[in-house]
Amino acid sequence: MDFRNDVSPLVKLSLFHCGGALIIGGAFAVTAKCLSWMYPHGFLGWWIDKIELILVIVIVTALAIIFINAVVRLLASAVISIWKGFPHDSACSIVVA
Amino acid sequence: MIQRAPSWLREMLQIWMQWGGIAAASVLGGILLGLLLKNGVSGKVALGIALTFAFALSIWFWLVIGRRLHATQEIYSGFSSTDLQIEQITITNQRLAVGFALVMYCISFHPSKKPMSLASDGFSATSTKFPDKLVENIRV
Repeated sequence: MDFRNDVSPLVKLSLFHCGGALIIGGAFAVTAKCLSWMYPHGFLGWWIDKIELILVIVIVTALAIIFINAVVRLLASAVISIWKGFPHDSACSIVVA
Repeated sequence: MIQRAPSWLREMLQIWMQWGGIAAASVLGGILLGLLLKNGVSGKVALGIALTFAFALSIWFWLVIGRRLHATQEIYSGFSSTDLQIEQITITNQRLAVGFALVMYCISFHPSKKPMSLASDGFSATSTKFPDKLVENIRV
């Protein structure tokens, strides 16, 4: 099985994007938690709340856009594959699986 | 010249860097939200402004980082090393020539370049009068 041609879109979607979002979000959450432990009564918590609010909205929206984009591309690829007679591409692996 | 897609590790690095750009844009948006709220702007308006700013900035970061890190691997084929060196030297010379032309063009329009004037000495390039000292010497 050719990694790049067969499973690359699915791996990109699940590992690259979700992994990146998890790493970024997790790093910020850990930093915020550490800061809240270090300064329990400081003014920093208020700012972290605001940044977290924007971060959550933007990251979830970006993930949704990437997910919808990937689904649309896979569906288009599947339709084209059926139309052209199942060549070896990403849609073929989905149909076979 | 053949162009090949980059390795999946490089692609992963590119995507994660793009997510880092989104996080940076979100942090800046959060700071803007805090500043707006501190300045007495209402919550909904401040959230709308900060979200618009964060989305615009994250799209810009995504595109810029993607363009910077997206590098197709170029493999030269059918050329000898001498041909490649000649091609690279030619490209470098062309870039230098364009840069030199741009610099000269900018210098020619620089405002510090004033027209030559000798009017303080009693002589102007546009006047038809002779300088006073010259007239005195002629009289003598």
